[in-house]
Amino acid sequence: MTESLAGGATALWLGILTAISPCPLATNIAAVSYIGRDVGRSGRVVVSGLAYTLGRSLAYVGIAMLVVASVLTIPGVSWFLQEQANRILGPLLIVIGVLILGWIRIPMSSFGIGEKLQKRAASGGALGAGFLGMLFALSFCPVSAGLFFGSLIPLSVSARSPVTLPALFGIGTGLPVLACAIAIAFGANVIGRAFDALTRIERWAKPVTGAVFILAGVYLVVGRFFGFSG
Amino acid sequence: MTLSQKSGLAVVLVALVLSGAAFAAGKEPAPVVPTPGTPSAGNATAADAASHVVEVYYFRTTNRCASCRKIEAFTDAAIKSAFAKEIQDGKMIWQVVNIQEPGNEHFIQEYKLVTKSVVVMDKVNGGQVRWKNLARIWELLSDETQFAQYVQREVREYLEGRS
Repeated sequence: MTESLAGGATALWLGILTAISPCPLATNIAAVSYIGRDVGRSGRVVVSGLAYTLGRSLAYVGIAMLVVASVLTIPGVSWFLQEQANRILGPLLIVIGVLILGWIRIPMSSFGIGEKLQKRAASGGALGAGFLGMLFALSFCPVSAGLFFGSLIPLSVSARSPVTLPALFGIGTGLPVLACAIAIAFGANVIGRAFDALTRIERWAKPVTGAVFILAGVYLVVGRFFGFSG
Repeated sequence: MTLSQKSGLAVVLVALVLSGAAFAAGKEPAPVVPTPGTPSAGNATAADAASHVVEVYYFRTTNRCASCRKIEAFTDAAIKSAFAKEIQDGKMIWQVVNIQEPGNEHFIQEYKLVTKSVVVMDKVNGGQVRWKNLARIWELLSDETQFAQYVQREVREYLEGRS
């Protein structure tokens, strides 16, 4: 029992360490702006934050189960996700940012798919936040790879816990983001109401989120050129 | 923002997306730091002739993040401040190896590397008898003192032949 608690606490702490390290800073800022943009609807911010954290946990549990079942080798999957997922993340964030801002229309809109995708990206909601959580969790950087594959997976294997410990790790990676998003949304809500400017703040929340996604994407793409990210 | 301004900005962003996609298609980013002229691990050296040599490696990639540079600097300081004499006497070797250089890829499977890593190994009469990946370096990255104590303790155990 004590060992299980210690293992759970360690997994949670490793997740928090991952979230507060400078390496996933760009994606964390993007996640905070995405989750916290429903300034006027506090309940939606909390639900989006929980969905984002759940998405992260699901991604980590999925990888852990595949690795523990020996379907994938630990070094193989770790290097693949660090190299390939991060290569597409920057361009993808730019595209999502542009969709949020509504600057481009997806050409497939005549089938209704593009329009739905565009609306989903722009309106967000729990599903969008969950997808974002999974996407960001799979985009490993050196710190998250070191802590997840180097510390958490061996712990999961020795404790025979391919679900609980990775899930707690995922919760740990989502907690600081969730806390920041809630604090910013509630803060903006209070200030907005106090100065009777809530509608104006709400109107700005969407373009700010789009701009943050584009800036985060540009940072990741340029960072790969100059070697200061990843 | 006017329509033409939006269009101009969209063109710039499309160019960035495409350049990012070029990386996704397999183009490696240009090396930021020139590869040091250190010999690759496994090369015979004068120190190998000694009966017991401890080797410490920092396995890095061509692309180097801030945390990765920090680990290299912390490990370098920890090793050189505590084991300068052992290095001078040939009882210890400390090297940085780029695993993305041709011929070095085998280290990934050999030492089960999941990312940039510090590995300590024992060599007796030139043959490797044991090794350990110091996985906790990522947990201690925010505290240089604890980081140095951890690396020095692990390396000392190998130097003294303790398990």
